[in-house]
Amino acid sequence: MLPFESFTLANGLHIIIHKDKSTPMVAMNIIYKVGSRDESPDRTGFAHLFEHLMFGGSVHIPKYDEPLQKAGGENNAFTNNDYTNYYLTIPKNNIETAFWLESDRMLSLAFSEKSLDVQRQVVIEEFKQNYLNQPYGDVYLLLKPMAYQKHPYQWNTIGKDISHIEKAGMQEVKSFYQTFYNPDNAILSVAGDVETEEIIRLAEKWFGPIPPGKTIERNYPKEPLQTDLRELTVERKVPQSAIYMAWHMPERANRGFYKTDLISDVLSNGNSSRMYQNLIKKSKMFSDISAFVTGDLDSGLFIVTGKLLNGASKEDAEKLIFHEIEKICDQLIEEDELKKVNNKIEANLMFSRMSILSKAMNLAYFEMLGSASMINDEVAKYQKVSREDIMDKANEIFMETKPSILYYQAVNGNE
Amino acid sequence: MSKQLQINRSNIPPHGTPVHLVFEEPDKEILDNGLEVFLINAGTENVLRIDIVINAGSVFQEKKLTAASVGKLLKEGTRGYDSSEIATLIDYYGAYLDVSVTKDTSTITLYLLSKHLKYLIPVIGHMLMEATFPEEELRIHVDRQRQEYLINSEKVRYKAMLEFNKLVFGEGSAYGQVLELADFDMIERNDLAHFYKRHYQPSNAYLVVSGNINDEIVGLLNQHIGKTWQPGNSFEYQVPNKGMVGIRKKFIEKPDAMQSAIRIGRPIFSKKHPDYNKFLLLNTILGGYFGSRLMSNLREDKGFTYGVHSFVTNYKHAGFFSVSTEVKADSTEMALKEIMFELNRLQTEKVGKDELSRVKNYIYGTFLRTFDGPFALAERFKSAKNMGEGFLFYKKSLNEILKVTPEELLETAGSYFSPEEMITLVVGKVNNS
Repeated sequence: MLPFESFTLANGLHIIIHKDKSTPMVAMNIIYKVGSRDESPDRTGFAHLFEHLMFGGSVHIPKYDEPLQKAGGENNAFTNNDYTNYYLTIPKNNIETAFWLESDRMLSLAFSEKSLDVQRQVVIEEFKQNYLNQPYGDVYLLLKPMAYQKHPYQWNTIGKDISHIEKAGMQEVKSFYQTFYNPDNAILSVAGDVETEEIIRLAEKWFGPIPPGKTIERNYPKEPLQTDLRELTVERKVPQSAIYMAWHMPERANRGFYKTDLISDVLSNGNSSRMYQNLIKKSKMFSDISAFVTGDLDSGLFIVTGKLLNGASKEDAEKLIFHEIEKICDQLIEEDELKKVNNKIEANLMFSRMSILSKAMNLAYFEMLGSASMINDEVAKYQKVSREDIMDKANEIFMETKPSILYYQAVNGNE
Repeated sequence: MSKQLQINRSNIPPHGTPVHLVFEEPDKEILDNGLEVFLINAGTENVLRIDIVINAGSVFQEKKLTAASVGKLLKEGTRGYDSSEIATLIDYYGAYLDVSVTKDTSTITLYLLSKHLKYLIPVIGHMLMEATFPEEELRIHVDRQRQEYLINSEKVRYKAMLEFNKLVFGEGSAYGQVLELADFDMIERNDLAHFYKRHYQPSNAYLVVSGNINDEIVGLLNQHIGKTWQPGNSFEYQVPNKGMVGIRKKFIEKPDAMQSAIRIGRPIFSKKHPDYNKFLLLNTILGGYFGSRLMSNLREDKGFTYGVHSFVTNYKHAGFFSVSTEVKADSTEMALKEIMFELNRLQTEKVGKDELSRVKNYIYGTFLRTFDGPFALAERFKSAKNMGEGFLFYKKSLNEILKVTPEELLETAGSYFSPEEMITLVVGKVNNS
């Protein structure tokens, strides 16, 4: 049980407080409910570029980082399909500095041309470093548009194309900010050795005066059921061929998510899992194999990835993977297997509470899903899933719909 | 509006009373075989982390890949448990078992719920005493590692890391060993068995337990490790060969690279050197945090790179300093120039009061931050213990850092940043024609 208190300011800002007296640091986490799914198809990568701009100075504070460092703090941020997450840790005596900094950039940014110009270049270098100048770096740039034809998950957080980032203009930046960076579209969590009254006082003082935004209309196009098999083979100068398969699966808040997550655990969580034992250890046709779920707010993907070994062909790889998938559709998993994956879930939950920062992040995340209190129901939701549920869900996903398959063919390149 | 006018948004709010680093040294117990166990009782969750640290890092191996292969194969078979039995046991109890091998040490780490210790500790005992290194498992492991190596070799960052290590410590030294493709064909089961027998001994190891400590723990450890893990043939700990710098400039062309990986640096001292704390501060100012001079210059001002950092890397008997970045290919030359410019600036201009106090405060925050939670405490303790120190080391180190003056920094930069001492490595595109 993770205890917390929650409040909402008059302007709509949700606040979650968790007390942990064991550390001299305080963690603050802010989620803005905006991600790459909120971008228009000709300006992809914008939510992430914007995350960079949030460090380029706000209306009263020319540099975000300097005063934070002066107060012994450290921060970072990330953007994904659904939301943008900012976090910091700071010695507890300087907690007001965190409120001051975060409220000012929620109030208004400085919108400096120089910052936009530089951050465009920085993000382009990030694009190259992580997606283009890396072996297998472009896999999701290829796979997502195969799996999604309607829904905005078809592009990656970094964007479809470098040119979208190059073209981002100041007017668009301002209007994006006005739409999404408002207290009623944000969740603030604080964890550490703090007093509730003090946190509420500080929140009222610094965030209270910020006006709410206009209601955001969210109408994401629904991705139709995939009934056709989609395949793509690309040739790349990499040492090893690889296969990537993606099926559609339920959204994060759906009960079906838990069933699907357990399927991926049975297949590939840990060295005793089915795919590790059968595909890596026994068949020796893979050097790596993994099955995982994306956990997006809208319908996400169940992904299987494998790197091929010992001359295994695409057909061999598919056959071995499909064999494991069919087994889970045809036969109930063992009682012990279900117990094992549930034990892992329970342990992981405890391990995820080892620092104030991860507690603050998790609380804000669950508040976004619906309510912070859901964090305490997670284990029970997994434990409710039966062996029959897993078999039914597997049949629904793997038998009633078709996957997208990307085959990454290794070709020799000259160094 | 009126409410907004009452608060001053332009100035940083006043700081409260500083909090201090306070922690007790861990309790120490000694098992029947003389093995030291350090107990760090902290945290709110009923979990444990057990670290078994053995002086069996790669510097002690006679053939490359030996130490790492021994570490990874410990869980692939022992007398009494085969590979899949170990995996099933660990997974069934929701535990994590990891073996990490660095230059100096091999560490077996187990994360588990406290209530499961009695089910899991016997297998850990077996791994320490009765690993069998099955031929078949070794082959699977080597095949997978070879592929990982080949993939990593495509990354300029990885290539630069290996090459730089070779430049700093020189080829042929224990610390300068660098993996090559042919090494994967040379490693044999006998190498592993020999290394294991020689180095995996209680007199060459210690144990750290962190988390929710209860009365049962020491008894269980003693039963499954203390009473059974007996010393083998005695051997003397020898200080490994640190090597020396040969070449100072190296450019490795990768014609299709979109970015170049740059490393600039030099060998330095280990943590116990009197200049260590001053150098740590200097390094932070240069490239050790997000607001550093290198980050401000190369990223925030010029947009050459997604990130640039400088590091102080310490081993037990050696260390090096390095600046590390990947930059836009056509800005390689400019980036090299700007890095040298920042190194020079620290040797010629005193660091301003404002910047110095900001960096000191940042370091103070970092010290507090790295002690957050029981597992973090274990990490910090091991790092100190490997040099023969305890938690007190950090308190002393922080106090010294907070006292360093601009004059001392200038002097330290002068002693360690001179251009002729620097090693420069570029992997990628070099427009030096």
